[in-house]
Amino acid sequence: MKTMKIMLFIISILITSALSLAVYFIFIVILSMYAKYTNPHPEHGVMPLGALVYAVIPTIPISIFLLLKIYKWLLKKYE
Amino acid sequence: MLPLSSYSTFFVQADPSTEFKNDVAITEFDEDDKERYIRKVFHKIRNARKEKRTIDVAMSIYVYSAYNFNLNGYTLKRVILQMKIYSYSDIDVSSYKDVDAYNPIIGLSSTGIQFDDKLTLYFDNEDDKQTVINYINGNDSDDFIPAFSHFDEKMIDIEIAQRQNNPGLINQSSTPLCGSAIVGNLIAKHYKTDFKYLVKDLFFYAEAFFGTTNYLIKPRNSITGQNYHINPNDGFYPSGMPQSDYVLLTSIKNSENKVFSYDGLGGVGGIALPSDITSLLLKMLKSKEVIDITSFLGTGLDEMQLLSDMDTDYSGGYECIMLIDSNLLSDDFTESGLRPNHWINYRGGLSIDTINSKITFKLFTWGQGDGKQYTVKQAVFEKHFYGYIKAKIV
Repeated sequence: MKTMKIMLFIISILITSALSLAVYFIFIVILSMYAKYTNPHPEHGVMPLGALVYAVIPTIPISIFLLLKIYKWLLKKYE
Repeated sequence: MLPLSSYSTFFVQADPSTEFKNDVAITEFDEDDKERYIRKVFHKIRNARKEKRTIDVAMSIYVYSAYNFNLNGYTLKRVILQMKIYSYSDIDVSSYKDVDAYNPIIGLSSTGIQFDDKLTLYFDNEDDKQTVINYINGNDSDDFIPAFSHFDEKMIDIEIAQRQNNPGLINQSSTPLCGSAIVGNLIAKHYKTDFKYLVKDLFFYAEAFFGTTNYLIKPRNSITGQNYHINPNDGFYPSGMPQSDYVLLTSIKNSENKVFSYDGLGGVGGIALPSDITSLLLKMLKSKEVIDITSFLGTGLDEMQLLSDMDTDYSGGYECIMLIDSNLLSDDFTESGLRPNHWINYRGGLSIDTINSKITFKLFTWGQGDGKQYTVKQAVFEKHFYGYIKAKIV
């Protein structure tokens, strides 16, 4: 049973990683659009480099939430 | 606009530019069909002979052939373009020798011309061969369509000449291509002739092997369309962006990007990480002593000490590329939404006014010239400076 739980947890992590990456990309796009449209001098382009960093912040809690949900769902399904 | 590249072949291969340099493979797939590629090579040969330079070819296999090939209205019955294995670069096309070939299996004989023992063109008959010789000698008119077909070649020539004289004219305009602009600025400053060939090759062929390093710049395909499909007169073109700058900057960025194209959502594809800049400095420009002293969060940096070090480095012959929040340039203490967000090139002229706490220095950005002077408050500088990359370009 313990091995089964570890296996399910590892599978949960793998699924969550893929989903988190997608979530991370979505936040990068949202933040970069924010940066683009709040640029006070649009004639002078700037790059949304900070989006790569700040997109991590909302991604972390969402990833933890997803991990727990997926793990619980897998446990329920295979127990 | 979907930012993901549709060019799936790219993901299953290593960096194709690296492959070229290591001579371990020929190339990734070309988005052109073989006929278009052969036409490109004809034009490359003709152009290179005029300009007395060598050429490089990027073929996915060693032999391309085409039947009923149209060359300026004349139909060549059959043309075969054959490259010698591992000899894609620095092909001297100033002279050629006649060659003949016979295929005993199908019983066909061919006549042809060979350049530098590396690149051979075969034809079915002497008339076809003579037509191509006339073409590469520049005797015939040319209906070759450049990759950037909507762009004005004369305008690009003028802009190239202007940038060779003043590299600070390179202007990213409203695009997020500051990283590429920095690299373009350095190329125009240090490799004036290679700069011209780079932009012209990209304009004609949407691929270029840079200078002595033969670093391949080849914009990738994307769902949003190739960068050379744009028309400078339509609404999607960045307003006020010089055509030569569009050709160069978008091609460099779309060549380097692995996933996003530069015109991806919100400018994500325009992001240039410090590692992107250092990679281009090392691989493309063969810079020495490339050192990255940047910090995303700006923590752990003593900005004033760093500024002093940077000025010393600049005086010592280094190029110094600064990572900043663009509000530094408007002497605005408030932060941009997402900082840091801009690369600029330091150009010396540092003076620090300790009484009024102000800093004056020169820099390159946004096509404002090579060494526009800015004066900002020291507090603003300390807040918006995120370190620099230094490199010695030889």
